[in-house]
Amino acid sequence: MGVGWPRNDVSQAVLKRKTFQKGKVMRDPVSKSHLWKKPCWEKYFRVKTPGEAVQILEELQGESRVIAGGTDLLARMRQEGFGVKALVDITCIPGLGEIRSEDGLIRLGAVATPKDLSQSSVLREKAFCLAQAASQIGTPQIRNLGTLGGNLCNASPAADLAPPLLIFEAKAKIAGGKGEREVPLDSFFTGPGQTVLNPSEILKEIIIPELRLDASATFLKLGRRKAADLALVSVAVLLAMDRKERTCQLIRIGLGSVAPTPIRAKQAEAFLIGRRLDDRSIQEAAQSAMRESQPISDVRASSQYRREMVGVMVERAIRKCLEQLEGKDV
Amino acid sequence: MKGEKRKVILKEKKVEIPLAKEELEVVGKQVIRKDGYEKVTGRLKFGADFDKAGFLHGKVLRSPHAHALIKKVDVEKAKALPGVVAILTAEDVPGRNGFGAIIPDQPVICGEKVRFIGDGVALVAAESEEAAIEALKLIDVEYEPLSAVFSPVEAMKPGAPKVHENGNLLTTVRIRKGDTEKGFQEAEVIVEQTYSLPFVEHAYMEPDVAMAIPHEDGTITVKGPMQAPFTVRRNIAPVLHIPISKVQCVQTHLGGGFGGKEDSSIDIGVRAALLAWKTKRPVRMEYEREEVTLSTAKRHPMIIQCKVGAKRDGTLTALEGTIYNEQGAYASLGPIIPPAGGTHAHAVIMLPGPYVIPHVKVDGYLVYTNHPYGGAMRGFGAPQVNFVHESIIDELAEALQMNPYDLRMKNCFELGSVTATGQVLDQSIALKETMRSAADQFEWFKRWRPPPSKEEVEKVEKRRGVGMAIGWYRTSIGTFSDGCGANVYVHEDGSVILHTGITEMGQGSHTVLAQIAAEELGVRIEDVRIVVPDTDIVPEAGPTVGSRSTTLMGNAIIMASQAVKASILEAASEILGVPAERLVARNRLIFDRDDQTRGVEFKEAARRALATGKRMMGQGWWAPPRPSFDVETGQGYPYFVYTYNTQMAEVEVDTKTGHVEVIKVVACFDIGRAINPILVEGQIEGGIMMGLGYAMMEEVLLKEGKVQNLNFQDYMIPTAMDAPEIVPMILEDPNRYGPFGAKGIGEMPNIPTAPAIINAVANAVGVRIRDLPAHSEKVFHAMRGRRG
Ligand SMILES: Cc1cc2nc3c(=O)[nH]c(=O)nc-3n(C[C@H](O)[C@H](O)[C@H](O)COP(=O)(O)OP(=O)(O)OC[C@H]3O[C@@H](n4cnc5c(N)ncnc54)[C@H](O)[C@@H]3O)c2cc1C
Repeated sequence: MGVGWPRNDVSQAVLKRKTFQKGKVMRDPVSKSHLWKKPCWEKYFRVKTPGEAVQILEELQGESRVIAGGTDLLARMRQEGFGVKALVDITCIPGLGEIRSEDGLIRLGAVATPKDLSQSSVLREKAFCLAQAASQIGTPQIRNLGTLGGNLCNASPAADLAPPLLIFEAKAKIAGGKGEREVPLDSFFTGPGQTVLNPSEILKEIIIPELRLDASATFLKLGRRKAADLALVSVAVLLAMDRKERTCQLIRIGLGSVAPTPIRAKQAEAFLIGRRLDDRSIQEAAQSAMRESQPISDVRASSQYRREMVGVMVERAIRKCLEQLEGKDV
Repeated sequence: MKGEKRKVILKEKKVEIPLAKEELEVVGKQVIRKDGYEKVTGRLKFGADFDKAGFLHGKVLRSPHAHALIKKVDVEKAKALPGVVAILTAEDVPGRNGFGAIIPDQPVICGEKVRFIGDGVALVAAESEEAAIEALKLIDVEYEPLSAVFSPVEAMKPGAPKVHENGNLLTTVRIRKGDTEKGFQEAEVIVEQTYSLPFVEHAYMEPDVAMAIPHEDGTITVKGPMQAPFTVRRNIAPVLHIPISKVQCVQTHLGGGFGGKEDSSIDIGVRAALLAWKTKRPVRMEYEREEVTLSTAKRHPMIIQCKVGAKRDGTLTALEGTIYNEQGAYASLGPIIPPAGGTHAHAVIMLPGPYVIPHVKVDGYLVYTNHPYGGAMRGFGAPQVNFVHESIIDELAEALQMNPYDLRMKNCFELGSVTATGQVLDQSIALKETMRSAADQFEWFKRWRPPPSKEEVEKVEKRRGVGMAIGWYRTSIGTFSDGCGANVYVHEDGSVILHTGITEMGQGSHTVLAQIAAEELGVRIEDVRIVVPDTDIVPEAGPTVGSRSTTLMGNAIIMASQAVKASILEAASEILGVPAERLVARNRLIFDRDDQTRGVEFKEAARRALATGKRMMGQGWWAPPRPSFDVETGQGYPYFVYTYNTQMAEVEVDTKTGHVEVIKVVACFDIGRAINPILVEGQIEGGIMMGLGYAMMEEVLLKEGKVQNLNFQDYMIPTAMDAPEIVPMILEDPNRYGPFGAKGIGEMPNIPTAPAIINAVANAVGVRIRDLPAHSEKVFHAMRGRRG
């Protein structure tokens, strides 16, 4: 596994700690906010098949959680101070971390790590901007431990892998008690921390449909420092153009950290499609994306700044795609 | 010769030219760190790594109110919880219910009122951590909230809520030199500005831990990562109402301190000791990261008004400054320790900068508020005021249309200069040389150009700029109790034990101090073992602060080494038949100065010394020349020697996002003598990164007294990826009072970095940030709002 932390050791380390206190404990934001609770659970299952996972989740309806890398879940359990009856570790399911290119599709297993994604030759060749996004997640430790599935199921508006997958119009393959279903990623996120998954379902795979060879894509992330930071704004853009006319044939814009979920800037896309790609049209598309974003103010930045940055980053991302297209031989 | 010369340093405390470098065996060499192997291999135990078995778990119940009266504390339900051994409230404190590094104004357990969010209102000891946490939730405290005050300026107004009985103004320190009115009349250009600096967290990697073990004989041991074990001991004794001799403080290796663990180890140490004392059982406490951020000391925030005047040619005529220094809820290391100790006095003394200014007037107010409290943090008040004088000098240069280098060169200290406090700088001062060397290395004159117009900035996506800043920093703490002791023991096999109370916290002190002992004794560095600082064993050393360790403790170690070396040389003299005065010890050998073929091994001499009943230990005690300072006039000699530094930074500003990237920092220091050059470089690089964080991202965000960014998800510090190219440069203008000419280096490097970066930002995009940190959003808005 290269330099990474061997998977099994991590699970082992996690296994050692288990004292369970029932139900949801305190979340009194003012008076008790200094009582950080150690994450706790009663049982830890390391399952070997998706079916097994689903079965346990169904049996312990609502009182169990899927754990993959645990980089989001454990932090959240500590911060919000809740315990669960069982954790279901899916990282040892054979094949669930595979990255394959098959019949023109790219299939990404849910427990592939950001490190796997950033180093995958399939992605580097066919969906480089996803590899780019993966390589900018957190720190080397987080990239070794975290997973694609966790990044998406955690449903943070700042999930770095979401914008590139949105512009590729990826689908989520979900396994549950009643079999499997596929959901377009566009409708996967339903709110901050919320997805279409029900408590006994797991995300198995992400499927990226066939990509146009003459399109270019890029991912840009703006943080407060150069590494180990969540995005203030992240942008992924996919662009194809008519070379003679320099008109936009295909444009998709994915935005992170600027709305309750990762979003597509569809009005900006609609504006640009069929138009000549010049300074004015690009700037107007960027303005449109700004209007479509609805960022919040928090300790990291004001909503006003985030919105301004959507404009800057969208414009830059489109220009970068253009540069790449112009450098590309067809 | 070497022995004689150093005797002069120690007795007369004056004039001595240190040895030429070539004559030294261990000093000035890049020896391997004493703790390097254990740290790199992960074997070294930090406080939290010690076995928890047999310890009760202690926790603090903290106030959710910034200011409130405590009406009732009901502990009955919590006491009944299985596993709970003790719940303590204010009445349970046997002695003084207060602690503090200078003034014991912080209750161990608040009884009448709480003064900030995070104040301790009860202590719990339980068999398990879970039970302790559960018990905290069951303690019922009834508060009567009081109106609170969150700004030093507000707190000074009449009628402001009183944080402490005696009012909010804790200390006033002034400087009065010459007549500033006259000075400003003489001035042809005057610049006046207000700057503000935020609370900053030390962000030491290792959160605080304390293990307290009571003994049958009425003594108590407290172990933990303490930056100043003697200060912890001094606080525990009166709280438990026992003599200091019954308290033993033992240091565990610190995973970073930066001044923070001078305070926090008192806080956690006193509380753990109290729980252990009352339960008669060993108690262990560990603060969570969020608890550290919430409740321990930080770098003081300050609002500083400053005004400087100069002649057309750049000659400074006057400086006036008013410092509103926010102390927060408790005094910590803010107030005066006579004559010139404490953060506040230091800030006032440093505000005029390393410049010759004939007329100076500074008023510094240190004010209580209902925020967390300010304490010692690398630079001790200097980073704040350095940001101010180095910003305003640049603003003045712009007004004068001068190169900021030339303006500094024209006015800064050199040999014989007189400071704003009237101190004559009569030795070890190579500030101008650090400027010249840094400028050569950085190619300052090639790279500097006047700042651009708004149009020029808007034309490009990225723009580079350069900036510089200079600084001075004391060695020592400016108090009468700056003295420190050392014991050196030589064994019959030539191995050596060194007792010192200076703590190793990553800075490398123990390596440097061992080098000094080895050099003086004439043994190798690996022959010297430093025992863990333990107040039962090692002599009083004062705190490991003020960039004082190498210089002050180094001298004490030289004295101790010389004392024991006398026995060894006497024994060697008996063996060789050569008078002791003619003997030289070097690299485990003792030989005749005049006939170097005649010699004996060091261990041979040591064996004979023991066998013939000679004294096998040496003691040393050294205190710097007595400091002087008058808080009303600000006149005196507050610190006996200063380190000088020039830093030059290049930045690249993203004109559309406001993001600042620091490309390069060149930093040149006059440190007297680098006992261990690679450790000095380590201090320089680490310090610059800390200064970079101060400039660009670090800030404890407070809302109604509550910290908003409690952990490292929200509290930003720079990562390795944010590191610029750093070029450390060392100049050595020997300090006549220092061992081998050394001065302090620990704090200086993080001081001029922030203004150098901010000056470079102004140079790149023409906007000036006067309130730190200059994060992207702030720079963005400043560029937006720029007129013309
Ligand atoms: C220091 C640090 C830095 C970080 N930096 C970044 C960053 O820069 N960018 C970024 O996007 N994220 C960042 N993160 C967040 C996190 O690391 C990533 O989102 C990571 O990909 C989460 O994966 P995981 O496997 O660890 O998730 P887990 O914590 O294991 O799971 C997260 C959530 O998803 C659920 N879940 C996981 N897998 C599945 C599945 N297959 N099916 C159903 N439910 C599932 C879990 O039940 C849980 O609710 C950072 C985290 C830390 C601690």
